[in-house]
Amino acid sequence: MFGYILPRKPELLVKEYEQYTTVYCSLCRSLQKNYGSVSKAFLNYDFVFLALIGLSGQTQEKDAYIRGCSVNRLKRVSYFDSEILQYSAACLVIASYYALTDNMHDEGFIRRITSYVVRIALSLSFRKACRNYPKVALQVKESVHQQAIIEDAKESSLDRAADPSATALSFMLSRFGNEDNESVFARLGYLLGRFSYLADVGDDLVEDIRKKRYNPVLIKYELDAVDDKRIPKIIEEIREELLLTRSELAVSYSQLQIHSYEGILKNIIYLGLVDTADRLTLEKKKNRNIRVFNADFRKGI
Amino acid sequence: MDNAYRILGVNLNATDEQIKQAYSELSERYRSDAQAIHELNNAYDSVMSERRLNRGTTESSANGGYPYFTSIRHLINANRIEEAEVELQRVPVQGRIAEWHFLMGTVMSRKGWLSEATRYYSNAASMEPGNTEYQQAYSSVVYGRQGQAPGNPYTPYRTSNNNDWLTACIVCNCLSMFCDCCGPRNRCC
Repeated sequence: MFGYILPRKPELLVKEYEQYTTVYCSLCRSLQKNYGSVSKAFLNYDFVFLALIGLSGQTQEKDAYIRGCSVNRLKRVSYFDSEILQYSAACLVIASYYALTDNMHDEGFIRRITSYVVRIALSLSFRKACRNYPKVALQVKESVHQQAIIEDAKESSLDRAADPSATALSFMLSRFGNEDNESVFARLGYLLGRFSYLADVGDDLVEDIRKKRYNPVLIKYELDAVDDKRIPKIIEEIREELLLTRSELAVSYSQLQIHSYEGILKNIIYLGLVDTADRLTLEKKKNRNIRVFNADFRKGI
Repeated sequence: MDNAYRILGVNLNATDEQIKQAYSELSERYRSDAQAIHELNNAYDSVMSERRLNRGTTESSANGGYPYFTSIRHLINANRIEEAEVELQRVPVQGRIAEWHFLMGTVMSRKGWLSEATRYYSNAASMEPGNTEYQQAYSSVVYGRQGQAPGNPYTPYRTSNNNDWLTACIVCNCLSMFCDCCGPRNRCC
């Protein structure tokens, strides 16, 4: 579910890269401070993007303090604090808790046990996050419920299957808007959630066939063999769907008034998301762990 | 919507030309004020898109289109997407002409259900190949699927078939036939 919304690092300016790491470290610090060290393990790029979108409305980029990193004490990192970061941290805790609950039902025995244990460890943080932002918790809970209904009904439509996660993210982002542009933020969030969900559908396709888990594409095309010849074509179709989602995302983005972090946000929307979509077409999972220096990396492999 | 007209300083029955003129005058006047320009652009976009949609309605109704599609277009314009979808679903199967598919595509697109939107737009475009409105909607979806995104600042780096550059290169090459004062030949292309 997580980790699909990230920048293409080689194309960032050094300044932008430092700002990006600052927001990343600040979110980590906010998690540590408000929700304890267990929650830090769930830090991911998607919620850094959520924080960036929230922070982009501020007229100036914040100055940061330099401190030791809480994971690696020898490393010096910069960070700042902001209400938006606290909000993003709460969203992350809530979303991660429900993702763990989901794992407890679909995964194999060992991962199920692990998820159960980790979920207990996270439950205090989860309760605190729910207290701080009850509406978000309620919305995510509702989305998880809707998702369960869809999975039970073996829904084959991608749009319908992506709807609950998209709605949850839409709700999280709509908080950043005022009455004029709330709908733009909501749409941006909807499309982001849809993007993450579809990327996950494409990414887990083969694994889902093997483990016989729910996946809307499997039902749509009645796939049941790992070596089915239609798989590359289906992945290509998901890739096109991702690119279309990203194109609509760019439209919503252009309607926002961005004051800070513009370079990073443009990089993520125009390059990072395309890389995510392209990475799906690579065959083996380990091939996906390449670092992209060349825009045409799909041809190189 | 009235607010948008007020920002542009025109009344509701001004012609498109008058609106364009008001827009260019105001954007000249507030050139240095980013906030004002942003508001002005938004107002202009919303007024023009509303007028374009309304024009589409009157044209198609004049061509014997179904009158209730006009009211559905108004619902979509007013961002009442769910009501518009309910109204569209009520249309009987034999009344589902190209315009129905187009409006359904618009509703789906607004909802964020892009794969349904693609399907409906493609139906509309194939049912009425001569209609520019449907063709545009469909081709914008197709471009999106091919990886194009509006306002992409990174494309000029990759595609070098920009005409201005080409002319510059030709001039540079011609000059370097005579001397190497602007660098060794073919440095830029």
